[in-house]
Amino acid sequence: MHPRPPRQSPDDDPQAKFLRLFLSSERELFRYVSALVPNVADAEEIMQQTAVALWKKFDQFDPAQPFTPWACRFAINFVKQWAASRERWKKLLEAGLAEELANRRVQLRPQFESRLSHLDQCLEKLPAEQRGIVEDYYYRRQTVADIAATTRRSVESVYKTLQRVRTSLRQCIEEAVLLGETPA
Amino acid sequence: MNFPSTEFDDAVAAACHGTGSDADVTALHAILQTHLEARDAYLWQVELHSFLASRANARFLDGDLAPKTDVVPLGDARTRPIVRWMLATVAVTLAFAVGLFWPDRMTPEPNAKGIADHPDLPRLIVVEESEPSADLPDESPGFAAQGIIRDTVRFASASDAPILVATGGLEPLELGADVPYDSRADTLHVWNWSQSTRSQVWPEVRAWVEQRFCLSPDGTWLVWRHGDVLNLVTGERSKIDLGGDFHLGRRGDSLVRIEHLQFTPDGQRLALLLDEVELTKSDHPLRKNDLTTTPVFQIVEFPAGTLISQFPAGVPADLPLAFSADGKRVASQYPREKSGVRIVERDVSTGTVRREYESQLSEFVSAIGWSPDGSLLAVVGISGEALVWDTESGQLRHQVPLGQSTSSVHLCFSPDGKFLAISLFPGFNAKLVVIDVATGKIVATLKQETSGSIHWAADSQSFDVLYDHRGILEAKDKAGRHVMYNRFPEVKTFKMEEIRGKG
Repeated sequence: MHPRPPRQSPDDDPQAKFLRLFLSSERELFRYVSALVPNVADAEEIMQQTAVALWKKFDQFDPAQPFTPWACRFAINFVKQWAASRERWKKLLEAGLAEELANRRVQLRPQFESRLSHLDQCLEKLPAEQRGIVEDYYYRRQTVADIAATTRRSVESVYKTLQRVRTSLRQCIEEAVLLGETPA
Repeated sequence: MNFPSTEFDDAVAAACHGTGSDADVTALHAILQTHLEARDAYLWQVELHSFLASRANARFLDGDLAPKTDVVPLGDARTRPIVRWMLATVAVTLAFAVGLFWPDRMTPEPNAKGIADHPDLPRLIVVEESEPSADLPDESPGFAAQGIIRDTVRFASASDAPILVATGGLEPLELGADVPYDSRADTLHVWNWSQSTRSQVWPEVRAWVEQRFCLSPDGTWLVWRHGDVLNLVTGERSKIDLGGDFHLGRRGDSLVRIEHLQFTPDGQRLALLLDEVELTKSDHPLRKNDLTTTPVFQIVEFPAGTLISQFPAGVPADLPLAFSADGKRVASQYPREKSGVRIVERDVSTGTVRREYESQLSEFVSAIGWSPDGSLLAVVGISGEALVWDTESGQLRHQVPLGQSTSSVHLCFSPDGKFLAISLFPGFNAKLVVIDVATGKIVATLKQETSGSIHWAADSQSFDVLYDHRGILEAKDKAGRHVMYNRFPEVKTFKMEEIRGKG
């Protein structure tokens, strides 16, 4: 048995620091990756690789600088590696499209944040069945096949419902922005 | 593809779901290359999708979306995510990460080298330089517990031989080793743990973590679901046509065809759990057909691949599927009409129902097993009960409460049929239980780290437990840095004379 080292306060502990920074920027990082690789499973795989790389290089992080842009630079490299190994994704790498999309998203981000502030009230307006599918798919991470089995619908119909839900949400949010509604 | 168009919107949606075809993805990127307005529309659509997805963990942790236990029909497919959620709760405490996924890649052809031919290889990856210590600060819940990191290895073991295979790096590994995390652990390792705790590496055989594979009961044949076959004794490689692991030959949640595969006890057949795709007439006025998937079991000859029988897989569409020792009967679970599950015994050759066992279980079953002579059938339900039936009469012989609900279970009768060993991972208190089959009494209860598969010695006097779901360890090395480890399986031997009466 090795003697237990003195306990560190969370402020001293690099893992605690890393976790605090990573978790606070995780959503934004995920959305950054998703802008380039939209499928959740693929984006999560890239996130996992990014998280490991960030931790390995954490001693090089300058705490005086913001964490998220530093993390995004790692993430886009993993996105490129991921796309380079998949034939059908190689066009994402041509003519700097990946960087341009990432940069454009940064420009649009304030507008997106404004729109997304209306999301909850728009979700409330969805019919209960559609809201249930949103919760199953996005929040409970059920597969479309599982949702189809549970709700006794076809897989195709669940996909179509999810597409319709996103269209409805987009329209609802854009209307709310146009009407200048106060977010709930 | 034009912009704006429904086709464009559909292509973005398909990209979000991972269901877009090669042509869709290429066309989408081509539009994005040339059309600046399309980029804004794409980014907004994707932003909405990823924003919803990114809220998942927070909403679970906030308790905003607790599992719908109150509305879930028991035995329903929805219970599987709930079990995963329960396991994740356990993982927060134990710093285990449950669940794997990785992109699908095809496996290169296995090499032709046999284990015996393999020269000595460099020493294993050691953990001396980064020896784990379990003093993580309370304030640091850990990467694995946070769900950021998942284990990146996959294992399969033989039911009747001390053979284990796994994915790993290029260095030999010790059973029970905590191996520094490597997201590219893609090489085949084979152990014969009766001879050595050290693995033999097959450096030219790629075994990716996302690929499903199974081992024959005697540990000779390793079969991947896409049909690659490797003889671990001779190194011969071959193919079996299992019909393809994907319906459309590409990755996608709903398009996986072969979910699981396992050998029958004689090693002569394979059981496949499939998602069969069917077109049904749509009742929507604008649609001709709907696409549905149905879980089924197929039994095929090995290595010929000839179909023997096919029958519904029931719900939840997941193993366990248990074969009698003679390979003639198979038992699996199906939902009852109102709640709970029934256990159905079928004829393997025809798939026809021979008997149904009324389990009285209010929730589904985690493990099923036959006694060696086929006279008894045992199940363990996640509600925490073991049931043993007489297969001649169909009468329930024993109903043994195990104390707590269980989520991960292995069970195995001793070769003489006198004992039933059950390895449970019930919540925070994993344990090993041995039941005297004649009396239905528990004769031994021991604590264990997690659950593992049980392998009895031929004389029924002892058994090994192979703990192959040890997850991820996060610990500090000697320099005080936190390091992540994949925890490789370990084997523990239990002698009946030593454990009897314990607990």
